[in-house]
Amino acid sequence: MSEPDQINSAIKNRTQNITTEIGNDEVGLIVREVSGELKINIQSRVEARELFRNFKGINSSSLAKPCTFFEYDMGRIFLLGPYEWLISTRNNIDKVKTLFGKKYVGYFSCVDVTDGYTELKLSGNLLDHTLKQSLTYDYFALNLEEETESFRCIQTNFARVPVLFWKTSKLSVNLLVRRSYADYLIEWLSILNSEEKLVVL
Amino acid sequence: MRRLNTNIINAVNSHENSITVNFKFNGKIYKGHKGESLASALIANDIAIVGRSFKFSRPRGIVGHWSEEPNAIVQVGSGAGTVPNLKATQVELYEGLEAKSVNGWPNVNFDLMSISGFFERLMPAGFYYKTFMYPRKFWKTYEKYIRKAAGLGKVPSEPDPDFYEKLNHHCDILVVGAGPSGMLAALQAGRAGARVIIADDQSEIGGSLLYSNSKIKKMSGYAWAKSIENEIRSFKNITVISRCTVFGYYDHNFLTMIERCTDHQSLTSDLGPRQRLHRVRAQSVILATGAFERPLVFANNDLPRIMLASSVSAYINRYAVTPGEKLVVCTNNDNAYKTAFDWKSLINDHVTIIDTRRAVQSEVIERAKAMRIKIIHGHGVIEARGRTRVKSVLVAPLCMSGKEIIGEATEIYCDVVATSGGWSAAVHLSSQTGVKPVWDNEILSFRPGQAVQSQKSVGACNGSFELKECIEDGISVGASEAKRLGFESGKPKQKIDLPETKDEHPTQEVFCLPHFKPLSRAPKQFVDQQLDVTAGSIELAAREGFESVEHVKRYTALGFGTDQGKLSNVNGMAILANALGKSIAETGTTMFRPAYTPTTFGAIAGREVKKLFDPKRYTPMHDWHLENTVEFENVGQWKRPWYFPKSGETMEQSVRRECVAVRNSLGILDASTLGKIDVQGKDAKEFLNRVYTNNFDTLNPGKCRYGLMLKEDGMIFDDGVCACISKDHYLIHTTTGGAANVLAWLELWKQTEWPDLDVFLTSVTDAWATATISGPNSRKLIQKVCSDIDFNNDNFKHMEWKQGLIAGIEARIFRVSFTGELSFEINVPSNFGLYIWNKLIETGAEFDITPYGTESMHILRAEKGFIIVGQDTDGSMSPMDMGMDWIVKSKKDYSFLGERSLIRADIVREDRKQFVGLRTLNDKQVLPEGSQIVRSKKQTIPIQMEGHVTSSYFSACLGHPIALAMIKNGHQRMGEIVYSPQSDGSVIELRIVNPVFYDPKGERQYV
Repeated sequence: MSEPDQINSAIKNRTQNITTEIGNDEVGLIVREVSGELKINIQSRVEARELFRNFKGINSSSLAKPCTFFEYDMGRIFLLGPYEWLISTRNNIDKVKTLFGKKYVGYFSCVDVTDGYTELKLSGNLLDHTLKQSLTYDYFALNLEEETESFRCIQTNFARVPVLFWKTSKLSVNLLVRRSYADYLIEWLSILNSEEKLVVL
Repeated sequence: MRRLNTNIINAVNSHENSITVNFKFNGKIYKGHKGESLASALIANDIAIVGRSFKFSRPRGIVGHWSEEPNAIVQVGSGAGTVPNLKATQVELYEGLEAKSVNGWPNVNFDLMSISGFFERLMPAGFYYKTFMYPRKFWKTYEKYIRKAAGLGKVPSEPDPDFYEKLNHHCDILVVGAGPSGMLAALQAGRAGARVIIADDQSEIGGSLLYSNSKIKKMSGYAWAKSIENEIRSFKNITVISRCTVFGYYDHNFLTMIERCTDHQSLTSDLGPRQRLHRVRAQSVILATGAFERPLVFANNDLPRIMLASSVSAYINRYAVTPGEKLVVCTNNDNAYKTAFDWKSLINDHVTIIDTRRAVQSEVIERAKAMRIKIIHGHGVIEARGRTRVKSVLVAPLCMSGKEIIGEATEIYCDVVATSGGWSAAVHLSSQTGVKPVWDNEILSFRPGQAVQSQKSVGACNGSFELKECIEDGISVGASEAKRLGFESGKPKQKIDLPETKDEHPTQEVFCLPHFKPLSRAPKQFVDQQLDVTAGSIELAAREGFESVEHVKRYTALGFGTDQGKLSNVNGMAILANALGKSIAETGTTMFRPAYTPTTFGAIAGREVKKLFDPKRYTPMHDWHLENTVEFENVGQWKRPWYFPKSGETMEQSVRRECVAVRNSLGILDASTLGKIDVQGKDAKEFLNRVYTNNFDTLNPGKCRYGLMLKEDGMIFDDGVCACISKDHYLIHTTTGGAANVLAWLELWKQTEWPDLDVFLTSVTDAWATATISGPNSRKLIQKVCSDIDFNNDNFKHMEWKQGLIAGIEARIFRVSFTGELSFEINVPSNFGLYIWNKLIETGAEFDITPYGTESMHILRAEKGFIIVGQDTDGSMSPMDMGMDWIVKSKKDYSFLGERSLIRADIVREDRKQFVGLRTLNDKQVLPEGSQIVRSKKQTIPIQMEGHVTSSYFSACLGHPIALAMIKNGHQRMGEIVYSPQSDGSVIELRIVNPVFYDPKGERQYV
């Protein structure tokens, strides 16, 4: 029987380093499962600047900017809604909780949803075509090179599955998808790529 | 062969005419050139008849050269990949192409249905409304034959072997049509830096310049178009999509386009998606869809080889084929003279121009004279003659208005007639947005009305039919739209050469040429050739009282065909206006709807077929289920194990084995799909009190409570167990299918009605994997895998939960039961779900642990009388109806959702349907779910219904069938015999009983 620490992936047929590659670098799409960071859902009606005051390295003015994420010293914080954030961090949940302080106990929720999500990184020359097929959102608008303090993210549907989507570089994007949909999404991407036979000029 | 020597072609043979291919039409093999249209190849092979008309089965030939074609409708391919209703004018030729006409039996040259032509006078407009009404009962017979006669082509019966895809686009400007104005609009917007998409339905961009002999400076129109195309393609911000038809224009500048990716190669070629549906959201749309040449209406104008003048030019100039030797041009405008010039200069054959206008001084007339082309002014073609193709035309002198004949007719022999009645702007797409086209008497065409979206029409589709105007229009609008959207001024970086302006003599307002006989007696003058609508039938409709253009359209079927009346609408409106004594502007026009051209269902479905029809959700244990021969049940998008058949077992045998195992020893269920909502905050308890019917004040950490949620109307909405994790922290469980709705419902109340509450809801369904072990041996198993919890009944009671390590993994264990047996629900982080499942299966082997699915779960809970929301309830059951008065606690500080509705008169009335159990008197009869219940088996119709069966199973543990039902006043009718009539005529006798069939005292779950 497998040891617990070896079954940490939502994607079937995973390789040891939990990388699923479809196609190749030149013509194709590369899908990687990203793991290792905790995903923590935060909700509170406390003013964001005050709630996150102990988080180092963040620009508090960006905390309430819709459709953005920003980095702090231990990870990233995504704004999901007016009173809701998702923290992706290398910290453990207890350490994160202590950052909010005792003062606000009862006035915020802090839920570890790590196992509820699968993070996928998509790259390769078929990326643009794949996104056009899968996403109704204008991902061109995410390409905000002028932004320095916060980056754009969007909650939308990818292949009819709800995802949190953000661009990590010109040729790669990350998706955070509910774990139960991850296999379907991989199936979608596999079929897309296997039938495509596109030559990207 | 009617193919010209290409050396004498003046311009634009851009098709790959050097490659000869074989193709089959109506069973015969012909040769053509790869890339030319099927219509072109048929003309080259001197095939005149390509189909039969829809109503009268008259022989029909090619009229146009693109999407306006009404007659040349073909079925392409064979077997599963066959496609009906393609226009031969749009089908590109490839090696091995097979096409056939869509009607005509035994063949198009000799069609037995053509005898219907003898009964033409019995089939006027709306004849089917008038004829098939009597006797009434015969309609079913008529219908069978009408349906057989109707329709064009055949759809394949096998699954489509091709695949299709959809692409989503966003752009600043979408330019529809890549003719002269569209290309320039795109170029100017692209130069300014806007994100531009330009789509065109032809294989090459250039529009009319692909076949026109126009000169721009010293370049041919074709060469000029290529130079513009080269510059367009040099911009990275301009996307050019050819072979792509924009067929739908919807609100918010959302447009749909279909790209034919491989149709020009082979219908079964393995080269990628056959077609692509582009879904475009544009900030601004520039329509440059051009115009359609309008044919003149005259007697027998449907004979093969009577064609549009511009199409004759297109076949000569673009494809180097000629439809005949002796041409008559029948026109009311200057434009058709170009066809005569093309014919004379390239073919040097007989050509005569019949112009309805009186002779005036104009450039084209002077040029025609110089080329020694015979022109007959002030005359019109009033009738064509011939049987299977045109042989001659009758030409008669007309009065100044062109509406009356003023002299003797003469016959002119010819084998091709090129007809032109002016141009009609292609207003279809702008009309789809709700913009009513307006009539412009100056250009004798409708043009788009005031746009209601961010949209502009340019060039011919806006009524500018002169090439120079089109180009200037494109330059101007492309630049101004880019500027309006915030891009730099669209001044051209290099000068664009323009053609010279030409003086044109105005088009005469003639649509239908007169005949010696009245419309109703003259040979048929076809307006809509695809659906056999004649000028006479439109006039008849007007005489019968149809005045609205929309009514006439429906009565006569004018414009109903797959060509959407591209050639017929304006002529039809003009004839109707004349019949009504109104102007065309007063008569108006019909509106257009998507799709502009026929679109395949495959493209609309895209990839959402077969495996990808609907997203699927899998539990962390899914792989194990697959390896253990499971049958799945779809619950919402979840794939839930339904039952686990062993080799050779039927579903019934499998389910019985699973149920008995749970009752006698140990079963295990994957319950990961149950909805789980984390509730936190200092007001969490108050929030729960408001959304559940029962009291949560007394629910302390470590305890669980079953709860029921109602909608405002007091009807059951969802149920589940709620656990208190710690002070101000709870975990709500919901039904699998109801999870998303429950969360949305709770958020709605939290955010809109109770924003003052500090309570926060987080879906954690996917975060936890749940394995439920149930049965007398479940405690023994859990004790073997968990050492840090005392599972003694005194320490870990029913409806409690504890946290501990299961096989080394942190877990939440809930002692709750949905089977009535001793049960534990083990929740671990999802990433360890499969690991824990394997561990439980391995350790439980000594108790013969049996995985069971949802079917067994349903039976086990039904034996206990536990309801399933959505199966036993349907949104119209209150807690009292279900015998759950005990869970409604009205003594709370704050009311709960639905409470007020529970005292409504209708909810407290006595004869409401109530939840009961049913036993069949015959123990071998299992009631079908949904069966109706009646009081007596001898009732006469209409039978009064007493209720219906909500759940029904055979209970292996009890040895007899059981059923749950909703029956009027059922709680007061225990022991009563009722009946259930079945669809086969039989009646099942039943006794109303308590819904708890098994362990009525509930002792087994408390052990």
